[in-house]
Amino acid sequence: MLTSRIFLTEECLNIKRLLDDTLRHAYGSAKSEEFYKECRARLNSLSAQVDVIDETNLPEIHTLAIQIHILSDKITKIERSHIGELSWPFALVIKEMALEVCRESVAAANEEDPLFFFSANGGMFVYAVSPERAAALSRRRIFNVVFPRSFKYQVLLHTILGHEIGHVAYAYHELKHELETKVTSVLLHGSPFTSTSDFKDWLDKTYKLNLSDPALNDAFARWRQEYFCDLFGLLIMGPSFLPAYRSLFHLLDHTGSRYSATHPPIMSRYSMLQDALTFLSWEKWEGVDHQNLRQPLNSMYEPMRQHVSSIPAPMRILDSQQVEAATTALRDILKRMGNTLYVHPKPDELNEIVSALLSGTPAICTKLKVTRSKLKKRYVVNDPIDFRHILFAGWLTIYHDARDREELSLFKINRLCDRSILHQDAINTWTEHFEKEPVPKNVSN
Amino acid sequence: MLVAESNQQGEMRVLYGILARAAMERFGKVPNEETESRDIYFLGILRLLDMYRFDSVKSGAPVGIFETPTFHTDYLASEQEDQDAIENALAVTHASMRPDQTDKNVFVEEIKAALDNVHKRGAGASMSSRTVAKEFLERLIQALKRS
Repeated sequence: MLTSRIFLTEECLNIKRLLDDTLRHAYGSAKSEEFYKECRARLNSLSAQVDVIDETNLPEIHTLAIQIHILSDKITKIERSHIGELSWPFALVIKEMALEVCRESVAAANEEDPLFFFSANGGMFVYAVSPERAAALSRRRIFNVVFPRSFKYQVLLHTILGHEIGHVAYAYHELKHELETKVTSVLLHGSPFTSTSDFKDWLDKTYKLNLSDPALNDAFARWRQEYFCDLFGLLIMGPSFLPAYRSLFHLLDHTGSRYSATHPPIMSRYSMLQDALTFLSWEKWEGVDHQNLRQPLNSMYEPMRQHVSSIPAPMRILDSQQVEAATTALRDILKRMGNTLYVHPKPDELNEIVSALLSGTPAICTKLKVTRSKLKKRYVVNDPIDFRHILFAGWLTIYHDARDREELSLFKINRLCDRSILHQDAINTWTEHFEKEPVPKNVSN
Repeated sequence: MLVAESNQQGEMRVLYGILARAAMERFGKVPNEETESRDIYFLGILRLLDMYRFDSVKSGAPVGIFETPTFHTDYLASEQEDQDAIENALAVTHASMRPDQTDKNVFVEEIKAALDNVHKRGAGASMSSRTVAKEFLERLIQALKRS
């Protein structure tokens, strides 16, 4: 049998070879190099520990072995992350949003921006963002965003990842503390989720459950965080968060009241989100009576409202006034995080995007305007469209009575939205690099 | 049981013990290429201090919007024990080192400043920073061992 030190030293060398074979050269991009450097730093620190480990200290040897195993596993997952298996235009915008959310915290913690890699796994319910927990051995954190492989083009369902970005925010201690204090505690004030003893009583009364203290504490922390992430997802993704959320959750638990140790009952979450929706006035959207908006808006929102009105009182756990206060507080926090807070589009613009989708064309209505400066040179100008407005328009198209169900399938709408996000990204790149450059006179709009 | 799952059952207490010891070993070392910008050992301890400051040592960490497929209540119990042990060790270190300082924030800021000074300056760190950082790491290592 090999001694532990020899074995682990050899494995560290194996991982170094693995790194050099994969992340160092595989993609040849700057991003690959960043992953390489971070993994290399982690490997160096582990190797240094193996060099000095006391072979009789079995717990430490075991812990180092596990950490080496985790690093190897992570490198392999990064290597096998194939962007062609998922909607990479969506992956890029969700990454930018997550970076905006944690940027302030990263600076405060003296860290570097986290790294994101994307995976496509089997199963409809695999949506996840796995933040590194304690991140004890890292200089910068590595987050894994997971999409369902079969949903490659289902960008309308991907809005559910807004919830997961909430978990990213919670991964940063200082930000988590602020969110807990200003949002989650306000949201859950007056509910059974303010103390473990109240929670225990409520579980006993509702589910006849008597959890052990560790299980109770864990469920308590998880449920609180899940409620927060739901509200967070709604506020950063906008209205399209709701149909995606409800479509998937309905399949998971049709009763809506099933007990889970990790998540609160779905009906109570529907109810909370409906209160937030009402408070935000997105459902009514006063003054909007456009041909392509009012009917699909009603068709989308009305069944949700009716369903929530039928939810039994014991499952309407959170107080609507607390939901309003928490929504206001979270909006204020999001306002300082770049463009993360969702803002409704202009109705005319949204109407136009829906119109484009209904006619089977990508939802890009950006006008390429040619203007003349004092120097009589021509400039290309455009008004970018927020990807969340594209997705909102996508959902409204689905609910539009005028949609030709055969010609314009759900798949086709999703693909059109996916392409639209890609086109917008290309336009943004053009704007960034060429907008200020004079363009040839033969460019037309 | 998969090896990966055994990690979830909690070796964090041991890992932080290793990190604290590694940070101690860095005292007086000249920063090399790997430690120029940020030393991984010190950064891990600094994060742990922030977790203590914000009561985040015990934090459920959901990984997906749906059920975690590998979720088991027995794993919860051992993970909770691990987190309790880390939190207790930090509390013991705090109480033994600064018994009169009940404000976590002040305590953490003091230790962080000392660790940061030692981390960035190596052998050139001030004596007071070296004394505070060393005392903290020694007490933390002992407390983690005991818990």
